[in-house]
Amino acid sequence: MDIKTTEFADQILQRAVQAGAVFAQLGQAETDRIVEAVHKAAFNQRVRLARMAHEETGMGKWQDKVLKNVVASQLVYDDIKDLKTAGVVSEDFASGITEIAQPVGPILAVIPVTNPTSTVIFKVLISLKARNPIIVCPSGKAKRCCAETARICYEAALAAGAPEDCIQWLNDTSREQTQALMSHKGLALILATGGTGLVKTAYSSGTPTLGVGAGNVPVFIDVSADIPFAVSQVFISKLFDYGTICASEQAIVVEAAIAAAVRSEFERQGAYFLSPDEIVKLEAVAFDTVKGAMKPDVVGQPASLIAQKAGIAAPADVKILMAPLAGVGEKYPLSSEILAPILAFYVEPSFTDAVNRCIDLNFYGGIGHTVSLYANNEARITEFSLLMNAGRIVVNTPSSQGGVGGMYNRLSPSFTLGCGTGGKNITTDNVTARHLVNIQRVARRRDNQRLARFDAALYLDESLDSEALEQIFNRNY
Amino acid sequence: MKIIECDGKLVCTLDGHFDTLQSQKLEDELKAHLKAPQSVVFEMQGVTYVCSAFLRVCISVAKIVGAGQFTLLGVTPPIKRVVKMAGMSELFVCE
Repeated sequence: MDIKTTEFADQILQRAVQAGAVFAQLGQAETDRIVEAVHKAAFNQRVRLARMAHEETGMGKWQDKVLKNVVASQLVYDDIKDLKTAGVVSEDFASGITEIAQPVGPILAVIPVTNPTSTVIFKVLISLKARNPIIVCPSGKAKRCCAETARICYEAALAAGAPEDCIQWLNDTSREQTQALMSHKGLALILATGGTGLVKTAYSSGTPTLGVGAGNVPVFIDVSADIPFAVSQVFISKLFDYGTICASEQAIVVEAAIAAAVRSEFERQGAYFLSPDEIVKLEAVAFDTVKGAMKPDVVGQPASLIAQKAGIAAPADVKILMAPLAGVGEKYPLSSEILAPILAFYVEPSFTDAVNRCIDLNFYGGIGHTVSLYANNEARITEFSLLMNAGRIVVNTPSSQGGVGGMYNRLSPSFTLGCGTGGKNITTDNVTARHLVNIQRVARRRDNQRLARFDAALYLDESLDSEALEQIFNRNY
Repeated sequence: MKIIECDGKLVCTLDGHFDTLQSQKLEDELKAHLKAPQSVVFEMQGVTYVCSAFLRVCISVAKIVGAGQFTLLGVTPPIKRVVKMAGMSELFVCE
């Protein structure tokens, strides 16, 4: 690493460490005032920031990006505003344990191109709520809108009494500079939301990281489901920002008994089912077989434009491209995650086969992320849920919005969806402010009765087994 | 447990709880029948539980006959999940 790169990281982290030290002096009320001010400032700029994000990235729909900004500001604020994150947060006389929340320290926030302004707002709010300084590190394709979002949040935070440099943002960082920041001794935590490569780099830095895994969301529509409703919800989700959310649906799985009804409902609502030849054409424009991943130029694009690129004669008003597939894996590129209005479609002979197909999809690039189920049969909901490896199993809910949380369920609204150890993450939670504090426990003396009123020398007697010792312990004196 | 040979293919119909004892029996039976190269199919519809000894039998069969020649057919979702979690779905076909 050259001197310039080291100096760059040193300067940024020095400012952040100092901001963190000052921030740690603030109490809950002062912290909450800052968070309230920042959320209002971001909320009030939601439309301008959404338009900026859309213009700069060319992905998705600005109207949906407005809603993402609303979730990141208003819903996240509603979720965290009453959370205790400073000083004594709990006291329990019986256990003698008092919990004290301390800030973790400077946080590096990696921001993806797919949800840039909303992720900045979200990460700034949860970091400040926990009294942590934050360094915003945007995708190169979204640096202007991210810088503007960070600036708005910073000005509001300063005006509300936050310490100088509590929010910093980077403009043009090289790979080396990002790595230098990630591995800097002053950095406390990385909030890594982005591609697999970047998340892996963060994990390899030696700094604790809350990362995300890739998604590949199967949707099982059970025979007990309300089909028109289920299909309408898939449209709401898959068309939201043209599918840029990693919790968006990737494949529909149905039993043969209802396949025709589901297919005709999809067609009625604006989906186009591809022929085998058209599937090959779509694979060529949507999937990079060398990299084994979706092509960036289809991400967040409307189905009509993708169809046009692929030379597919779909109706001009097509909303979703459906690819009936026979299997999952490398031979079937469209069985992978593609963040665009494209869905694989599987018809299976029975419930058992349908669940097996969902397991295949779940384990093909989406372990630990999100799965979706439409059913009105509680036994099947439970059976299905027990067999999936997913942090979020969303039921009768659009999975993009359902996974993010706060809109259709009471999951914590979040733009960092933990995928558990299957996705190489430490948590399956929707990451939020409570993950950004160190909890110190003051443990007052409360003698363990098993030891306190028991002759510990009896443990030395090998002739006494656990039952005999239990009897002695429970004897009335 | 039933093992039949049909057109060069070895078909083992399995059912119930595949504990260490059952897996050992399966391994012994297979030794008597198995010859590479040969396709092997385990019919799994009736299998409700598999222990690690059963997974070892599967690995050993896959090694002898080759990955593409060994299939677990009719697995229930709980067993499919075990195969996936054990990272063995690349070693043989599981459907």
